[in-house]
Amino acid sequence: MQFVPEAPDLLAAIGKLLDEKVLPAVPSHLQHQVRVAAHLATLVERELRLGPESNAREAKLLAELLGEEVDDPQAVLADRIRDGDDPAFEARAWETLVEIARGDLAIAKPGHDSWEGQ
Amino acid sequence: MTDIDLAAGLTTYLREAWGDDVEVSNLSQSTAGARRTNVVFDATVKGTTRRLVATIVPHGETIINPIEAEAAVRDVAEKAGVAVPHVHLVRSDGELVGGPFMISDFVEGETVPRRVLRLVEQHGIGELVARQLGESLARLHAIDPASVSVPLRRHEYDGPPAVAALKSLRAAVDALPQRRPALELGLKWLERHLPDPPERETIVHSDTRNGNIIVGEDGLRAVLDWEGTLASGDPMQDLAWPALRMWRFRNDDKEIGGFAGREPYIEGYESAGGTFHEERFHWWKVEGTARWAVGLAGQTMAFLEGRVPSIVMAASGRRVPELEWDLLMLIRP
Repeated sequence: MQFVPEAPDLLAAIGKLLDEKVLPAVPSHLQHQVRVAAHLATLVERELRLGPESNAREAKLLAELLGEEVDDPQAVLADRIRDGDDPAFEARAWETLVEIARGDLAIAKPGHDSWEGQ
Repeated sequence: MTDIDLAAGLTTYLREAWGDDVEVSNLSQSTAGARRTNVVFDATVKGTTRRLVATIVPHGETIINPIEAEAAVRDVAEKAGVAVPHVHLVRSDGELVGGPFMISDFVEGETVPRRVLRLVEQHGIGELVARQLGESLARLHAIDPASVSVPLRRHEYDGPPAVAALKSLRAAVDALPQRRPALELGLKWLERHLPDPPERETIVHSDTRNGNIIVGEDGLRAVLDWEGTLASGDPMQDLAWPALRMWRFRNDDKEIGGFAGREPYIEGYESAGGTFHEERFHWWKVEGTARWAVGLAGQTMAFLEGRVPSIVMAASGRRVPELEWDLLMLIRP
């Protein structure tokens, strides 16, 4: 068992360092990479904090849509969409996938789902 | 490329083309993209100094169109009235500078998307830039594809452009390391809404977006990055691409590159002779969004397989959910 800080807190500290201290100090050709590294550190921080609950919710939503619990619900749903021809099912799938995308975005890009236009 | 003396190499090539008194000075590497390097420099010939850019494709890099083809289509586009940096020299050998290259005029202005948006806002020229982008595409699409002598890339599959694009997308989604139901739903929508073929096929630049254009305080100054130009396709593919949310850089309510809504863009396109087709435009927006999701996944595969050990490529995979969201919004039942 590791002593504290826990992994998300360490990643938050790494992200903050990269963003606030390292980014202004590196030459311009490295800045984009450092910005991406800082973004990834905070992304993984969010994944560690929110991932378990988000995955459980995704599994529940998929089981409700498919009407059963299966080993690889993403693959089963993908096949049902690809091989099927049922607009009513696709409309329900759309609702579910929007909810799942919200969970993914809470980790990958918070706020992206606040805009629902085209 | 650190062991290469770029100044010496460029001097040699320019002397071969323009004579022995060419002098090269003030070199600076402006951008090092994923696949190519841009070097800005001064060339002095007979007392006249010109600011130029050498675009070098490092040996061994995958290329979409060879640099000679890219230079040739830029030439044709320039003659048709599209703003492009004039090409002075293109060489397919280029050993002395690290790979095939072309030299073109340096055009002053902004290319970095967020800076472009800041400039456009400061000068109140968002609608102007959108209109000029529309005009540029219309001029490009007015060119008879048969008049371009260089072999440009084509859609990977046969058939009308939308059919070919859908086949290619299907293959790319099937090759992903993970099943993604949101992308499947996008493909299903594209199949169901497959549009009629365009009245005529045109040259398609395929990447005219905020980030691939030079903008100054007076508006659009140049269209860049012709490496992915298609010999023939649906002109609405070109119109749709800069309308993706991905290229608005947070100005989400300004459909065209974060500059403006679609009205000035369509007006520009039609005033310069193009015909806008809304249904096909929307189809290609959906297609482009799905294709960019697959493209980002491909970048991450290049990282995972050790081909491109870049953290930017690593991050690309984690951007797929953004594209899935945008895709779902575009196909709302």
